[in-house]
Amino acid sequence: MIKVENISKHYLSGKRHVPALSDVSFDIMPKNPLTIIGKSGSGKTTLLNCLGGLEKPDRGRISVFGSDLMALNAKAISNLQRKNIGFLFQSGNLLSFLNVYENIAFPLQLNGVSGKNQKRRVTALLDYIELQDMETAMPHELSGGEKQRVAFARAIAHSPKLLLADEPTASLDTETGKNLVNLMFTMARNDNQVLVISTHDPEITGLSKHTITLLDGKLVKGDPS
Amino acid sequence: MTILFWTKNGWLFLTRSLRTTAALFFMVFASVTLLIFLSAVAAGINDAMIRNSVSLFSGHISGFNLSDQIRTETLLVKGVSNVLKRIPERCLLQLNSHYDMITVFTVDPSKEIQSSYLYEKTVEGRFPANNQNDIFISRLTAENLTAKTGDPIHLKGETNGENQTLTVCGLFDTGIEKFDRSYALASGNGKITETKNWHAAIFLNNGVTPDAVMAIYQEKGLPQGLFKSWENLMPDLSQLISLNVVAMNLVTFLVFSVVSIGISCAFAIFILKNLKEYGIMKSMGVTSFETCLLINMEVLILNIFAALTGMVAGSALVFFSASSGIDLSGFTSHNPYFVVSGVIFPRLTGEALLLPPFLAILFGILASIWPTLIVIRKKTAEILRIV
Repeated sequence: MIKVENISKHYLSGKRHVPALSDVSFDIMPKNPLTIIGKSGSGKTTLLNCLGGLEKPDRGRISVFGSDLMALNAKAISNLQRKNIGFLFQSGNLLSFLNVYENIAFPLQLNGVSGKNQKRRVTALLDYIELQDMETAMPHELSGGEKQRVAFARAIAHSPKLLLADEPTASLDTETGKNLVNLMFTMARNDNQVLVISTHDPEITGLSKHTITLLDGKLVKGDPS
Repeated sequence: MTILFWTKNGWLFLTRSLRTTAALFFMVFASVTLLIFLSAVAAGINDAMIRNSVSLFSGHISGFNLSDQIRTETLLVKGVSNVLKRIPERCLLQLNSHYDMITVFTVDPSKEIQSSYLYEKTVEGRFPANNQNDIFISRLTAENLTAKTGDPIHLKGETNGENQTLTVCGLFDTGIEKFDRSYALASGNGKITETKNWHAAIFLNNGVTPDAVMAIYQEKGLPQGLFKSWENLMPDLSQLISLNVVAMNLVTFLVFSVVSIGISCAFAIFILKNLKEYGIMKSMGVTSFETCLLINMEVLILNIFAALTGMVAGSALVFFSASSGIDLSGFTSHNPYFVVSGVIFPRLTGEALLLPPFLAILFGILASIWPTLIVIRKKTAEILRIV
């Protein structure tokens, strides 16, 4: 489970302090995907980054599966990300020098999964995202939807306990976006995964029982705990 | 996580960013190739100056006032290609009412032609022949005596009071005034001296140092004070060569400093261009150490390949240019250190072969420090936000 307690974060823009998150608190339980909604600049990405250990809040506490993120050093955070966290970005962010297969296998290699198990897992994921024939394709040869599906497969390849998706459907058409989100929700349910999605998309909000709304960094609606 | 994994990823990074990799590769390859060739040319110029200076007359080692107990065969030790015996006599030359005082060496002309190149500086007539009463004088001496080829010249040696008459067989002009004003050669037939002491011009095989041969002479009990190497006899040339080496090292360093700035900038751009990739990897839990390892693997792989290829290409360039030589006669015709030939033969030295690739790899690694620090120190979220 994940526990967020009174976290605040600000950025420095020139000499000006810009608040990104102000005193945000909530809990997330497995099998209950959380959707974060809010306008652009409301703090959704910052919140996801804080949950994933990509940046540290100025104040407050985040506990991820019992580990206090604020107390972990860089190496321990890397270890947590490597083993327990999967990121899915808005634009896919595939590694351009690796093909589809290698991109999906990358987190498995980082975790020292053996060659045979790697192959089995990547093949299963390629089947799951219906890109069996594209394993040798390079990222620039894929469409936007295909990129996002590969990025999703990579994000869940090492079976992370927490999947963070930052506006995963923003650059996709409605149908492709819907399919991807369905995949994510199904996978999260089946694998007992904690799924956190930030979005503008009302279709996605409709799929999730738990939503929180951010406005100028403040939690203005909903508390899944 | 093994080094092999990051080496493989570094390799994929390079081979799948082919245009950037090719541009960087060419930059390192070209600079290594050219610097190896330049260094070999510098070594070739030094060799040519030594070869020209020693092969004209003196040899690599000169022996002075050797007693007739020492035979030429005694001096023909390992590393020596030839020993020329010359018997000097200070002589007064006379033609009609003109006189000149010079040193005349009695030589074996056929042996002289084997190793020394004075015969190539003949400007009129011919080189002395064995069993003839020939004398080979410089154009300057001929002008002093108003002599020309075929004229009989009277000689009176310091040790031999008798007058001798030799025929001017030819004139030489080395362009080295001191030499031209001081020396003449006579074939052994003319009994112009009573002295039994002789001078030796000792020529060495390629790569043999005078010190090595003189050490052997010392072991054989030959008196050391009688032998002098070309470095002792021509300190000006020795200094010039040292200066040339320093100048070439300076050029190598300066050229590489300039090239390395280019390489550094190119590497920095290459790494920063791919900043996003490192950010994505960091978000997946790749540590700073692993990021550093990956970047350095990329830099190392590229530099090692480019430097090795540059070494091969530079060596090949040296090999081909050395097989025919590079004719610089147009720039050396008035230079006393190129008196015999202006053709230089580039030569690879260990330093010339290894220094440029070593510098390329070193500067490549140094160049990667700054962008690596940027990648490591920048927060992952920040990288992902700015790209």
